[in-house]
Amino acid sequence: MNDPALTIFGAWLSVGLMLAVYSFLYDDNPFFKIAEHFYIGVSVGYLIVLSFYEYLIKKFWEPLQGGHLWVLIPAVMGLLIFTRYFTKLRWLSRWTFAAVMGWTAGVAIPRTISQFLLAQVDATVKPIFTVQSTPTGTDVDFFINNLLILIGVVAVLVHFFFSVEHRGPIRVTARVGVLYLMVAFGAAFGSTTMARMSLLYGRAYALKEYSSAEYFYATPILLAGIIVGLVLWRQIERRILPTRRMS
Amino acid sequence: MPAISQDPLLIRRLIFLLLAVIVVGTLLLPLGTPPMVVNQESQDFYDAVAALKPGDPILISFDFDPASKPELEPAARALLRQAFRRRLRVVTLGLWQTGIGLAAEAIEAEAEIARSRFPQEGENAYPQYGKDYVFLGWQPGQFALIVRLTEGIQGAFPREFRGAETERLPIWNGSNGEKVRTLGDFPLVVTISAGNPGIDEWIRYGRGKEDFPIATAVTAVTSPGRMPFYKSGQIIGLLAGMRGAAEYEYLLNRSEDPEKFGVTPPPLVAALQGMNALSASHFLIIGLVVVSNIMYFTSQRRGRR
Amino acid sequence: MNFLRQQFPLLIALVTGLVMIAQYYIAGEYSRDLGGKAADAYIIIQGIVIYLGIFSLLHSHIGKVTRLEAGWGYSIFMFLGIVLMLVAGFWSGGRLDEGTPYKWLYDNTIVPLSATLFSILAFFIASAAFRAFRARSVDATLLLTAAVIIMFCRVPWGEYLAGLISEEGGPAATRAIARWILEVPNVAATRGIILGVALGIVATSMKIIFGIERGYLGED
Repeated sequence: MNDPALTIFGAWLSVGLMLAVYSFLYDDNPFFKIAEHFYIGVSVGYLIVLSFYEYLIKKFWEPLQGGHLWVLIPAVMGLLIFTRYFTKLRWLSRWTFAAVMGWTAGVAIPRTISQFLLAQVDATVKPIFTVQSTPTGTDVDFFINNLLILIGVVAVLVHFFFSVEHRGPIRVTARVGVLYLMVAFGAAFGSTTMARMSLLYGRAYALKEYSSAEYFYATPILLAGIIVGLVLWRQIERRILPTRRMS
Repeated sequence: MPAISQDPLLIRRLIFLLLAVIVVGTLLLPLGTPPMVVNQESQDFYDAVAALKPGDPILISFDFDPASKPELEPAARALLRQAFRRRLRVVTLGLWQTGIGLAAEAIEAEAEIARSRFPQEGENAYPQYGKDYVFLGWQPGQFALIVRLTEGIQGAFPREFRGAETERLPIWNGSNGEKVRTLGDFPLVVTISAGNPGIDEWIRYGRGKEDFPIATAVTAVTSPGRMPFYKSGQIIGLLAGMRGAAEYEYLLNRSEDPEKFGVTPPPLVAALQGMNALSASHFLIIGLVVVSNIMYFTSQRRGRR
Repeated sequence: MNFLRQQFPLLIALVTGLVMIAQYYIAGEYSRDLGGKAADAYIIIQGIVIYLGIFSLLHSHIGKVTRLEAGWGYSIFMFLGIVLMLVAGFWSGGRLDEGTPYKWLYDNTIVPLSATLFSILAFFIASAAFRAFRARSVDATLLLTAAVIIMFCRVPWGEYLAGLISEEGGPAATRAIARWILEVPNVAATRGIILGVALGIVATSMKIIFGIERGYLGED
């Protein structure tokens, strides 16, 4: 598959699929739907192949061949999930769900307490000021950021604590929590913008690469093709299917 | 409905076109790479890898898919470049099934670059697959795979991606006779993380059981949410999105030592080159927010009159 | 029979949950072996769930095509994608090395499609920025201000423009402001959310283990 002709064909295939997806920006249309369904298909096919070699063979079949018969137990439990398709046998799937949920819950509790609770509380409770005696006198350092973080964490927790009515001091504290949350959401939005623009840049770079003579100007030619296709589709939709507007 | 939205569909399409023109324009114009200033969390990421000694094992988990490629693949490539340059034992795996192809490609490409720098004969040949680097592959289960790794790496992956028996690979054996068995035996674990499963799961299920330093490259979307872990010391280095990857590329390019190897590979620029497009698109968004608010307040005032 | 349908699943959840909590605190080879096998068992079950999902998808689309439902033609393209990838994948023996048909198809279909579908969001963010982000209240103003500061200060052009005002102080100020927002109010709020979520996870997990939460069992 290192053949130059296949490389160029691959480039044209990529560009065609990319532009078909971008045609959604004009309107939902058949090109986009074809690309979307094709994507689901290749993803599923990829997953079947990958899971066959990485999972079925390496994780199940070979250990079974090697005498580790215990793998049959989870295999049978996994197959019990399929009983959900049969009304009378559906209850058997509960055994598998119960085992899975029990394992997940048991694994989660100590690890969550350790890393998400204790470690984070430890990082929150930091010195707000320190007093040190020096040869010249007493040195007092005030760590305002530590204080602000402590206030913020408590305020946000109070905001999400609904077992007590938010009145008086609780209401004020919860309101402070909301202000902290707004700043955090603003930072999140700013960062989300950066992320999405990065993804757009990545695709724009790829389309630019494929617009060169080396790839026989795939991008401009296919872009023109998609535009013509969209115009024709719109004409067909207006004349033959006037009541069925894709929006 | 405010007066600004006379034809919302037209305005929407104009905005789409404007964004496309700006991003494509910054690509086509010869703007060069803008000067980079490195943030502390990116410097910490670089320093964490630089602190490892030749022969130390490092675990790299490729927890992303092609959707996050522009943000995370440059970071992954740069990390592999630095890891091979330090002559580390590089153990890799992936938690996201559609990212396995990207992972396999990046690992082999950087290994090939490393081969151009190090002797290729005898015992000193570096890097050799199975001895100096290995790609374990993927399995279903997501966070369960991390839990499994804390109980034994070789048992978690009986065979590596190319099919060899993992237990017998020489990569697990250190120069002092110590053997890598679990996550706790790695002086550094790095996850290139796009979401779930990713850095949160590595912290909770990995560090929740074993004590090991972890650094991460994340998408810009998730980076603010990971700052509490960075500030608490649970993460010792953080690359935030394409900007973080660009800073890392800058650090690596700057630290290349042509005298040491005699061969300098092409500089890493995948993320650096995107900084102009990123800046321009950000300014467009800021401009749109400002303009829309001006129009909103103007129409509010007109409405009150 | 009622015991096998109702109480036995709850007993399974109780025993597996308590055993996994105990295993966390017990060191040693046997504990490690048990933990490893339990995780492997979960992975094996999850692998089968993948095939359940695939079966469900195929079943749905086959029904769509055989009954000629609206949009059935698009399902043909889905089946085309599956067949092409299966042929390429098994022909390559599952190897994703450069030059194999599997890798070629992965590079030229999955990578561009996956990346492009998510990159569309950039356009919708731009559109939303113009249409929806109005400073209607104190909260909204705070959110917008933080967002604009982050967007301005975290890109090289922002630092460059600040440098035009003050060559040394400008870029340093932009970095300091963005850093303060991310390291103080953002950390405080996000940490509060993390703590809240963690408490929720622990509480829900306890409820599952002790049979108080039974929603996962489904209806009778």
